[in-house]
Amino acid sequence: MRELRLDFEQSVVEFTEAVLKKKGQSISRVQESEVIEDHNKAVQSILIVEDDQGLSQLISRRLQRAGFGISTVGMGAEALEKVRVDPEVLLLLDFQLPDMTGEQVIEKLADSKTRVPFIVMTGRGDERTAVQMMKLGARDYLVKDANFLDVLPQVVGRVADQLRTERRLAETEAKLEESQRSLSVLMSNLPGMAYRCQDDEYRTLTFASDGCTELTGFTSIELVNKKGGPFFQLVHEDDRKRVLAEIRESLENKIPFQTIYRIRSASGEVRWVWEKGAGVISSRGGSRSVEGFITDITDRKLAEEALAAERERLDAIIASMSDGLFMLDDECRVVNINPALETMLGLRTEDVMHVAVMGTDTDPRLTILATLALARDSDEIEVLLGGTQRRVLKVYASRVSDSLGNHLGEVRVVHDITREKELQQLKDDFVANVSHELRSPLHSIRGFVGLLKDGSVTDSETQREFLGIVEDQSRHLNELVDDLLDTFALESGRKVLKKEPVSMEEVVGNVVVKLGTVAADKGISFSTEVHALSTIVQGDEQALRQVITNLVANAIKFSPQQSNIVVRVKESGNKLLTQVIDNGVGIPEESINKLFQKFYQVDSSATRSAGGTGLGLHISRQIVEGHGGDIWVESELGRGSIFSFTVPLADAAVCQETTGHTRR
Amino acid sequence: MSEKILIADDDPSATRFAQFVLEQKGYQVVTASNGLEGLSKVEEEKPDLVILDIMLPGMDGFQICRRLRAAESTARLPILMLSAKARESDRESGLKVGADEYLTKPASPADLADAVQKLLAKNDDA
Repeated sequence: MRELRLDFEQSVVEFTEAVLKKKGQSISRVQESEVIEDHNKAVQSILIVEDDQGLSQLISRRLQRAGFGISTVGMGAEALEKVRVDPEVLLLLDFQLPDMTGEQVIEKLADSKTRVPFIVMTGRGDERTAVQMMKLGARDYLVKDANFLDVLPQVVGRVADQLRTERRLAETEAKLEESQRSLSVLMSNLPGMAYRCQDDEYRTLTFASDGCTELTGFTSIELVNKKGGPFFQLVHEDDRKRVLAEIRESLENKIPFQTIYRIRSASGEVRWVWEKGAGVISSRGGSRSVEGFITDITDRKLAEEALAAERERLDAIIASMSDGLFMLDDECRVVNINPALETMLGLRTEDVMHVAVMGTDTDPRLTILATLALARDSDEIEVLLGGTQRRVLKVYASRVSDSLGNHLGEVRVVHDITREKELQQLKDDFVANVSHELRSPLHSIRGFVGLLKDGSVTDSETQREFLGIVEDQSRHLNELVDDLLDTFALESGRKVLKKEPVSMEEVVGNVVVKLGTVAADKGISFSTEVHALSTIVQGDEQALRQVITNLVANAIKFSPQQSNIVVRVKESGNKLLTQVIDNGVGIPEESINKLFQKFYQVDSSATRSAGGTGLGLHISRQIVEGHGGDIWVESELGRGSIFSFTVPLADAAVCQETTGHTRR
Repeated sequence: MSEKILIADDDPSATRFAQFVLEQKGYQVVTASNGLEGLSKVEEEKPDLVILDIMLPGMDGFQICRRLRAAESTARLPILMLSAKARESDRESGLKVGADEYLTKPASPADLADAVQKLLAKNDDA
């Protein structure tokens, strides 16, 4: 029975095909082959829901030939089950099924929220049902008439194309949505705003990412497409012109721009921002716009400024140091040199900067740097500057390392101790001189006392001579001690000079009288000249007498027999000038500057023979300078010397004091 | 005949002291108070021994010593340096420039006389 039926169906198919061929549907064949080709790429699977097995088979074969994937069921329930498993199918749905209508199948699918595309197949003359099914969402309908199998592949093919297009569209949309979503997520996570703006003087925004709110305090809605450029108005007024000019130039040269400027946020806060952008011509052509990105760099800028300030402070410290300083990198190139060292060594920074100081023995300035670079910490180095000037430099050496302990270079701080050394030398010399000067008379006293004591001096004349020497030496020792104490007292400030009115004329007179007998022994005469209305000075009478005594005693010492010494007192501005003029041996030029130093003696034998401690002129200078005056000497060898000193006149001193008070 | 000794020293009391001590020992003494005078007295007096102070005005003891050693007539003249400079380096400098002996001031009469006597004796032997 079943086989019979199959035979029948087979024959119907063959018959129908024969009929179709006879009708010469060559066009449909062509269309069919096109469909096949198309579907090779993405095979649409089709679920045939048809209870008439024979027809189902015919449809199946027809569509298989057209390249579709085919499965078949005969019942509505089976169809629902299949769709549940594979919802991507296209239903070819017979309206009249044994267990339910096509309409019921669609309703059940709708209930399970499954939307499956379907084509409905109805019996001949049942167009009303077809229309109803179209309303339920059928993609198309097929009437089971004589043309049915002929039309079938076309209809199914068209729907399949439609589905494929829809699917592609959906995919594209999904992709677009995804990419937009990720772009916007990306942008919203960026620390700044992306923008697009018109290339006009207001930089009118056409797009701003959400980041603009955090950056400016305004939402993109408040900024985008607003007239008058609220966005560009945010730029700090001092920066606007520059920013526009920079952008303009880059756009003209068709290169991207980068710029840093300040903006005022909605809250009025000034923030530093960094912008990078470029001109773009939109794909639709026409006007140029600018796209770019702006981010807040206030923190970085503040850190930079703090760093710069710190750097400036360090530079200022190094520059204001009185000690010299230079730094070498790990290849011994000069990377830093301060003004003090430039002055100290007579270098110019530009001559030595970035020059390696080692192995260059041609340039003497670099040789000095190399010497200093090789010095160990606390070394004292003697250098000859400019070939003549001897300086003693103390070097403080240190290695410079970063926080990881990497060697960055060497720093040398150079302290010029020439003056200290000289002072030390003076001090040493002074001590040596003092001990020598004190010992000589002591040795002499001891020697002669020894001779007298051991009885080797027998005649009374020699005894008297030796006692005289002892007496002289004792007196000399006494003078020395007095002078030394004076010097120390004046130097340390322990001896305070009085400020009283003193008549210089009287002081000079006293001294001339006192030393008159000594001078007379050598046949020396005095003349005193006074060219002043008043010789009253402001000072310490005893100290001033000491000065004049020293100068006059010196003049007597170095004057030849039977000569004249002039003591002249005259006004010189608001000071009184006192001069002691002799016709003595004079002073060699090289000694003039050293004359007022401690223990300096042009000719020690002259001093010895004439007495004197070598401290008189030094003490005189201390006293005169203590009065606010000056002391100096002019001399010509063999012709004589003029010692001069000034002391403020009493009136002038009073005047000065008074004006000093009124100024306050 | 007694030997002649030249004392070149700018300190009159030191000169007088040495002179007295040496005269007591029977030497003949001549004196000079500076370097140049010392050199010319060597020429004039032809002393048998010179006592030199270092810190002399004009020309110091070292310079005089060198000059004396450089001249043929005085190359072997006994020279005794007598100075207040007491450092070992001063002594070395003195001997280096040609002094035969170096005494530090103050020298006792006995030391001075001994040194002079030894130098003169040594010169006689040679």
